[in-house]
Amino acid sequence: MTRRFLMVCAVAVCLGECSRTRENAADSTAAVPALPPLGDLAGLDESLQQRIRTEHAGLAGAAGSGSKEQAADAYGRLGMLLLASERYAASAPFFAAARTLRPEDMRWPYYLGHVHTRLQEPDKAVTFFEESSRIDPRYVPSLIWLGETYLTLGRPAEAERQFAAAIAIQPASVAAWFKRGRAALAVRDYSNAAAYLERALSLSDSDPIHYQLGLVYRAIGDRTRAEQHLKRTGDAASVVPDDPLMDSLPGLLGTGAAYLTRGLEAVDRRDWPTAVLNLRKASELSPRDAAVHLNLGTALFLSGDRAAARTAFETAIRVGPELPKPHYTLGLLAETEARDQEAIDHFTSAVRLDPNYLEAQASLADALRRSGKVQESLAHYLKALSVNPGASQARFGYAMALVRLGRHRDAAAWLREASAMQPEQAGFAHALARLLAAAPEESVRNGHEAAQITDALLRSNRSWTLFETRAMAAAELGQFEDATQWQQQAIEGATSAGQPAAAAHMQRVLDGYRRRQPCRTPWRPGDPIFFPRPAA
Amino acid sequence: MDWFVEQAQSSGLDFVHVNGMSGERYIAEIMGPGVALFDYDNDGDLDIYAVQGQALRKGDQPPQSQDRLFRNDLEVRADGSRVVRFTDVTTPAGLVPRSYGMGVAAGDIDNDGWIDLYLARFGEDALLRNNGDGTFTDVFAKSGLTDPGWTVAASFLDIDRDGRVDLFVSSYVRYSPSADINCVAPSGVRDYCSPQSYTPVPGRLFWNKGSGRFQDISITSGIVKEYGPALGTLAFDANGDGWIDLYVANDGAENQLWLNRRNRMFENGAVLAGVAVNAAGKPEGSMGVDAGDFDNDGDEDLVIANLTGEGSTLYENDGKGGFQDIAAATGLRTRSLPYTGFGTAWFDADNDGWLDILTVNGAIATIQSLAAAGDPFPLHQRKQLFRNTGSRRFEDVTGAAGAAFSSSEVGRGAAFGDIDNDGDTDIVVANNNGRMRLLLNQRGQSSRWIGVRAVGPNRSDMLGALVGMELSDGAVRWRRVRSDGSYASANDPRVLFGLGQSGQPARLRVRWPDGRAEDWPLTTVNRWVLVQEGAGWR
Repeated sequence: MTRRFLMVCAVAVCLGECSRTRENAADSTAAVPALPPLGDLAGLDESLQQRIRTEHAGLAGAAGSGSKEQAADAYGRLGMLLLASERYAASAPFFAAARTLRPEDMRWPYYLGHVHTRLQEPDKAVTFFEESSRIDPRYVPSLIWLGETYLTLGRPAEAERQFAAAIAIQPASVAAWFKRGRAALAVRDYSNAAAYLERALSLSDSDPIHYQLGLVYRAIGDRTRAEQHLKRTGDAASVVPDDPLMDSLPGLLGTGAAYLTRGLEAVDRRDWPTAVLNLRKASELSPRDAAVHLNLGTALFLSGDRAAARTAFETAIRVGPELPKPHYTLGLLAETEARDQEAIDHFTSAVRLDPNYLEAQASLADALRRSGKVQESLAHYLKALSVNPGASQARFGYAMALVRLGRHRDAAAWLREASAMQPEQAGFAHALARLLAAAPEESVRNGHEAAQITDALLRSNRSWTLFETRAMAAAELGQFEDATQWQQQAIEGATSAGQPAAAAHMQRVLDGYRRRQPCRTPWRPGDPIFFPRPAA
Repeated sequence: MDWFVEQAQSSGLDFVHVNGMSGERYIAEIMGPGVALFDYDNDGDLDIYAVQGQALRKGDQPPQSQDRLFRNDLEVRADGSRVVRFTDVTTPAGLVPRSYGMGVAAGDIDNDGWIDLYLARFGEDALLRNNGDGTFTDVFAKSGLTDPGWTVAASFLDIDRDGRVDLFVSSYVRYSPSADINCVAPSGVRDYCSPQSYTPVPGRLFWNKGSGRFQDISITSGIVKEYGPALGTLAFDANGDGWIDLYVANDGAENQLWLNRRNRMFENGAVLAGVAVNAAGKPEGSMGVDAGDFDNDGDEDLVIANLTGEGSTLYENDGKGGFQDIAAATGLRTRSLPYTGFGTAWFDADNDGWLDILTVNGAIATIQSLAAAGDPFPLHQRKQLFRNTGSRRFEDVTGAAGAAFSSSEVGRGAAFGDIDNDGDTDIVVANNNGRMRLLLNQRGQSSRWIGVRAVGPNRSDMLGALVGMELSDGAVRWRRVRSDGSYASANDPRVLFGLGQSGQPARLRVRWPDGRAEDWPLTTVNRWVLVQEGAGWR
């Protein structure tokens, strides 16, 4: 009885509503829903707050005038502004009002679906996406987001139907094929999952698709293919349909934060022109935000405009003098332009602000070593290693600094320990072999060990530098004929590699081998190993 | 009847965490604390170590209290009723740490039968050796350990099956208040930074050489090759080869699964195993993590608590070390989406034989609705309890869990264990800048149960041992002896088997960490038993 009573009431309400709707249509004025409050706008850009309040006041003032369509658009527009401002809960009533006024307009339930998705309420979101898809079954993003919500709710079979419908409308939709593959994977239909994902991959070679495909191949036991694809991890959420309704939202804001977000998204996509455009706008709107200038500088540098990048980094320092990163980036910039002293100054500033800044410590140490300030570099290498003991470049740089200082015994001990700690870093073993073969101090040298190490390295690498080392070891052992042959191979290799200075030096050493004189110079003074290249 | 009742203050567990917040929104202030459940005095019941914060801004006054040790003076009356009573024994224990505490790990570093503690900190860490007389000594300086910076979580684990627990300490990011970055939310509101604003630092692996001395094998073991901002650490056997592996959950970066390749070498197999990122291929903001056999198929599955909008992750183990994220299919994901989870663990809340999940929640970014209402600390969320239905689904039973679950707090650490020794799992919750909570289980004791403490010859808990309970119907349930898991906390190393209304044990099996296996008939129920390697159970 109660249920029938409620149904009767519901029908009565509906009739009442319908009646009001007909009346509204008849006299073309809108029966405006009660104006929802805006909620707290604190924290939003002042200009944005003003715009929102103006729109809200306009809604209040226009109550009862204009058509339902106009009223719905007005409510919806404010909802969109609040949604773009991430005021999700506040936006919902405005979309709801628009939906009440114009129930045949799919935009309003569509936006409500997104609102509730962002409010972590997929149970509610699914209802609205179902509605928007019902109103306009040909708006593909609506079908796709409905399917995605079904996936979130653990309803993959229903999801698959939506994606299939989307594909029927847009056969080249990457998002539809991709998500259809995910739905098939969720129900362990690996055969179809692979087919759908491979189709998506043929349309767009993107990491998220590779990853899902990797999961499929792993599930069916194809380890080789699985490994290839799984290495390319990527967020499935980044595979989205072209969606005019949602894509229009960021443009509504016009705030520094909004442009920053779009700029960073463009950086993620490696779309440098778009990144620079948005980040420049962000910097104009947020001139006191050092992070914005830093990001702008990075985008400018990556797009090739070094001069503008420098200006942006310098601005970042000016507005954020306590931040080490702008100093570090200016240091990198200076390095790439061979201005080592300037690089040293900037790296020094960076580590003064943050002594545990690993990259800055390592770059400073390298720059000091490159500039001949080898003794000074030692402390910075050690500091870098205290932050990350796995920083092999810093560990190697320390060894070469010791060599440069003539501390061959210390260098050999350091390299021996390094080689034991990180056996996969062949450079440590090679450098140790050089010292053992050709250090000026007899107490450091050990020709047998040098030969053993080099022979082991040669099994997997036939570089001319290894030939040179092997020659040194042979000479140390008094095997000058062998040394001569190895050295000749090294000279040929260096010449082919376009290294005339190295080849000339090795020729002089070869002359010595022919006179049965071993080499006592592990590395020639101008060897690039003493001048570490700037960080990439 | 409520599943849990909250009895912290009434039991004497009077502790309020101070995070040192000053309005500057330093990221360090929202990450702690953890809490430890461990039997420091070997009297058979679980005591509590509570981790305290400190002032962060220069010139601010430090809090009055420090880390605290609460001794459990459990009273079991003649009628079988139990009264939990805690006594603050911080001072007599000789504990004077005044540093910004983050997390705590428990393990017997010198095999003397007394549980020691590793204190992870924003600042210099500590290694508290239990002297066995109610006092502790900080032996960090002479232990061979090195401090990897800002640490949150640590795990004691025996990586080489030599009978001594080794130590993994995870690091979060490189950070100091003086180098704090002013972060804002996209809407323009000033807020806490994410870890992506800073640089992660690799964790450290220390090999126990004996007598409480450690050697840093981070580089040779391989575990510094890949790292992220780590918040969760867990030792478990991912691929069932009998060697302990290490899972590291990172905040906003791919997780690592360090597979034990023996000879103290590890290799990251997370990507191929399917546990580096979630089902969508996205690294998550992972905090708490635990391993347990939720589907009773003989292997350990992972549950991970993540950020709001991500939902908890449930990686189902295929028995061969491959995992699939089935959180959505089980219903866990949807229900956890609105929350940021920290402490989380598998435990049988109702002793029906199926592992349930509890997550303590609390945001790391301002919740707009709370801020709009003028809340001075707008990060609080309520806890959640998910009951395992036994058919690969979880139902949210938070509403039935009790009044303690309706309160909204900034939950962080949670330690799980049978505090009143009545055969069901209780929980201690450490809230950020809030009061510690003691949730005593009222439901599990109405089902049959059997609890096992697995120890070695010197009565140290055998971390990593697998304890199996073979039932009369032939089914075998496996549980691991562990103290790590959850978030920044140390758990009861004993294992508890819920038997439902009619389950009957038949045999007790143990796979010891050194690879040896033993088993005995066991038919007793509703009691705790002690099983000792080579000596049977009693």
